[in-house]
Amino acid sequence: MRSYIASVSYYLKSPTLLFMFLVIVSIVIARIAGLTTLDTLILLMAFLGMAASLNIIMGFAGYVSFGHAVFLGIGGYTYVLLVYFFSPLNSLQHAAGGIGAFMVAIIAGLICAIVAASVGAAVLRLRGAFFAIATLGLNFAVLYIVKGIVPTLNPEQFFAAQVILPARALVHKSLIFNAMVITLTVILLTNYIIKKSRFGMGLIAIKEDEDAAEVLGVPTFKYKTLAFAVSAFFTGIIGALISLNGGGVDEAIFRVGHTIDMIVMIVIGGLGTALGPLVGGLIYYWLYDLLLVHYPGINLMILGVLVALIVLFAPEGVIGILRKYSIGKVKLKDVLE
Amino acid sequence: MDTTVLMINILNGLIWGSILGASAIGLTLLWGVMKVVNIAEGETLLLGSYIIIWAYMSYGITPYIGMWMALIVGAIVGLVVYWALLHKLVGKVEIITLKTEMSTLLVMFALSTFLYNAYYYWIGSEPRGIGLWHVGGEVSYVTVGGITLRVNSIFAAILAILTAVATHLFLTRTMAGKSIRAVMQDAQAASLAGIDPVKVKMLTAILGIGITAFTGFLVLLHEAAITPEMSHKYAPVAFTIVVLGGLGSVMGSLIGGFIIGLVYGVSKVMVAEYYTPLAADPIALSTAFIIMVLVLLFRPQGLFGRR
Repeated sequence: MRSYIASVSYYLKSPTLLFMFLVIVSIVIARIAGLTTLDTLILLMAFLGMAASLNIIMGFAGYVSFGHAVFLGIGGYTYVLLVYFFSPLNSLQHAAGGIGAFMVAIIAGLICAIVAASVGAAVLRLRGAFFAIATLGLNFAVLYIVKGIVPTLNPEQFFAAQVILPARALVHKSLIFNAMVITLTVILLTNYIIKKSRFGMGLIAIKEDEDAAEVLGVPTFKYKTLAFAVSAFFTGIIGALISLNGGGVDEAIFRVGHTIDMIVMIVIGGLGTALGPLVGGLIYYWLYDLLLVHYPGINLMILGVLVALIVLFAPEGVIGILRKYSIGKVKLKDVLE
Repeated sequence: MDTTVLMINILNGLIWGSILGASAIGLTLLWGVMKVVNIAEGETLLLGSYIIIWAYMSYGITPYIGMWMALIVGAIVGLVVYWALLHKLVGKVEIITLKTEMSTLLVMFALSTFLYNAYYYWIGSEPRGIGLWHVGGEVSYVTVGGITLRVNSIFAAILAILTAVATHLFLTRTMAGKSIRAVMQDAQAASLAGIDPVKVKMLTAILGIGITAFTGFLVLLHEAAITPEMSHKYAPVAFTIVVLGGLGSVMGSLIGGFIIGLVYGVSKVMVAEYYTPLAADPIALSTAFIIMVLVLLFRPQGLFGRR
């Protein structure tokens, strides 16, 4: 137990500094930045967070989830309906400079985790393409159920499954920004800890050869389900916060495009690395913005070609390529991990 | 409950199901032979529809010829997709590992993104169709015993069944079809018996994507107007059908289509009757995916597939 704590504290040493630095920077930014800047930063962090949370199941365990947007959707709808119908939660989300909103989002995330654990317990028995297709099916099943049920909750207001938050339930952008900073930090820390832990090693073993891992004593089923639930938990929080940021939620949150975004970011950055989603997310967001400005309309086509090229010719991604090189005597591999 | 309403919904469901079953044939072949899930199934389906629309609206070429053009263009796309995207990953490999499978998923995903956005860019999001063209000349509806059906839809269902039967005959009666089935069962043994797996895989890609584009005609007949968004409605249901029918089983995918269509039609009536008409269509669609997850769990080889 003691050695366990010691090892965790060892790995946390540099991230703690990073965390404090992030807190200070975010407080400053939330004070001085304009609404537009805040909005851009929230979106950027949402992208990074989505990529990093999908990385837990897809990067480490090697299970491609094509329907991960379902957890964005469940998180978003849970959050919005909670603050719509329960006034205590509505007042909680205004509290404590964004921590309140984060806590309500955790409820949404927990519901996602429960859904993921119960569905995953069944679906994770499937491998490869079957798992991908099953999650895609889950995405559409939940989408159509939401489309069917949400309008009946309040037929005058929720037209076409679109829930618009009333003015009393809206939160200032700086609070959402703070909540998003907390979320992103927690997700990146989790990625880092998983990468370094026994759990992460188990997941990587599952990715390499699941049968061999099982024979060598890795509790594969437990690990996979846990990874899927953790991944869904964080995706749900992100979904909740972007719905709050958008002032409501509609069925577009379930669109496959969100899953595409997440997968492309991880593939660019490098599958199964702690830093991959961060680097890939920044590159993707930059490219996305650049292509959107200069080549509107064909930007996503270019991204499609890019993904195919990366998968065919550089399957390790940016981090994977950088790991092979060194600056002077310092090996980049050591710096990156 | 009104029996006529139930009958109309069941018939429409069966018609739609047969079209879905035919559109899943290409998918089931690709998946069965080289473990490649054609994520771009919906987009290749719409490719066929758009070619027929373009030929008819711009040059007045009748869709009877247009559907063969769709087949040919789809076959060419299949050839290009095989050599550009798939050959490097699955061409020479006899036993496909999970990692390769992931890579093929991502590559097909990239193709899907590319085509989907290409449609938005070059064709636009507004509905396109072939206007008032329909199969029966002057007659566009038939009424039998109080049930009215569109002639186009009936024709589409017949054509869907014919497509499935033709593909089945090709796979069981010709040498090329038999070699496809051989590779599907055991690629290593097939190559020992003198079958070139690369050639067979290329043939499968051509055939699979060609048939998918061809069945775009059926979708066009049934839906009357096409938007790029529809690829996201058809592709997931096609995956469901392949899972239901079993990988590589052509007749299985047709029957799977019928089952999904039937359940869709019945549950639509049930939800409208006992819950609310507002939720009927979405919840009826969700049943397809619930069926798929259940089949995956309890009979992963599909209803008609062999392990």
